[in-house]
Amino acid sequence: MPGMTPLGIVYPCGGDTIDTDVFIDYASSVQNAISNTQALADQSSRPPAASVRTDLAGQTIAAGVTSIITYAAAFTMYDTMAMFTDTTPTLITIQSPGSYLVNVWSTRESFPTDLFSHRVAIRLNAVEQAFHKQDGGGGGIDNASQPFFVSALLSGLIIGDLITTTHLFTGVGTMEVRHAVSVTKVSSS
Amino acid sequence: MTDQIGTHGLSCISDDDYAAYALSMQCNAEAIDEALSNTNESFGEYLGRPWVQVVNSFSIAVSDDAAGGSIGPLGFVGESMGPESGAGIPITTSFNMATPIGATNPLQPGVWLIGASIDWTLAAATANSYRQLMVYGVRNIGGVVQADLTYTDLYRMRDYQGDGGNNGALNVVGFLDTTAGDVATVNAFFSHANVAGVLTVAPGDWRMWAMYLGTGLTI
Repeated sequence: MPGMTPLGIVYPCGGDTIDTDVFIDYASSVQNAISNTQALADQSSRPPAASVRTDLAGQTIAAGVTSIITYAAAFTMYDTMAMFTDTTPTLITIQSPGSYLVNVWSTRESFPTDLFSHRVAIRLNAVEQAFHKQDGGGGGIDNASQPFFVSALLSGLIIGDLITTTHLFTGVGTMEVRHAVSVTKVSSS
Repeated sequence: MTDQIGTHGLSCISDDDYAAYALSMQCNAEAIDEALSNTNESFGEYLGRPWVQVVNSFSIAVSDDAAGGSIGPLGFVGESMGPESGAGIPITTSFNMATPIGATNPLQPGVWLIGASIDWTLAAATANSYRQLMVYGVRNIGGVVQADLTYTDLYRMRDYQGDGGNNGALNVVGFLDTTAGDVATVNAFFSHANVAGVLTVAPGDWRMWAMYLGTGLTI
């Protein structure tokens, strides 16, 4: 009667007939155990992750309107399950359950007629999870104001959860903004 | 008679010991199993890295006395989370650890990524007044959790009331090094100098989180 280790490696015991099948089972079960470890290594070194960005020219948004950002390209995607596709360019869709770190780097590519504030948010299923607003001290934001960064830990996500980013500015006219967004799975729970 | 090969406790059978096939295969199977199990455990710690976060469950009114107002510290410990006066802040805590972080269950030694975010509306604005959000570690020295504002690894974001409307939002993120084992918890603290009216923080708009990155890192 063969024995088995906790990871499922099968070996012969005293009294067993050792024939070709025994060696095949032994080698196969060792291979399976190694493959399972390799799968964990792959998840560790290449977790589901995507980095997406707007078109280089930026997305035109109007004053006073919270605009959902459209991503033009995925420049990194360690995710064979594709969290981002061109057919839904405003969405990053979770394909593997777990917790994710989401970062947004936002820059302004043009000057509106007037600019009082701008605000970037990270949304999960249309609900804001992290936010940052720049509001200049009196007289509005100087047109040379700095770009900014928003970060969030989105925990316990499930397959199908949707991540979006938004941008709102107050002022007059329109302006072009760019978003670079990274979404990385950081924990399986 | 078996000969040892490699460094993982595996062996091969000598020419004169064919009778030991079964025992040799069992020993090698157990050695392989042990080596892989140790590796799997290491990957498991990495893939299931601990995190914790808290979110306000109800609306918060941030006072507007002569010096402005503040809320916090918002901590994982579950204490002293109220505004500087008034009732505490009901929060929702979520985590993937066996027990939440607390005074008797401090942050495990290593390096953490910590962050906070807050969003508010104003009843009336005080021009040019500041708003500030901080996130930081609180030390435990000699077994005593230090005062809430005795901080380490403090990160701060600041903005001022301008012409952008009666609302605002701040976000801050940073590293926390708990390698020395003397950091009890993480706190977030929000303050402002808007004396013209209270700030209101809606449910879900006052958040703090921490995520374990690992041990042995040099920043």
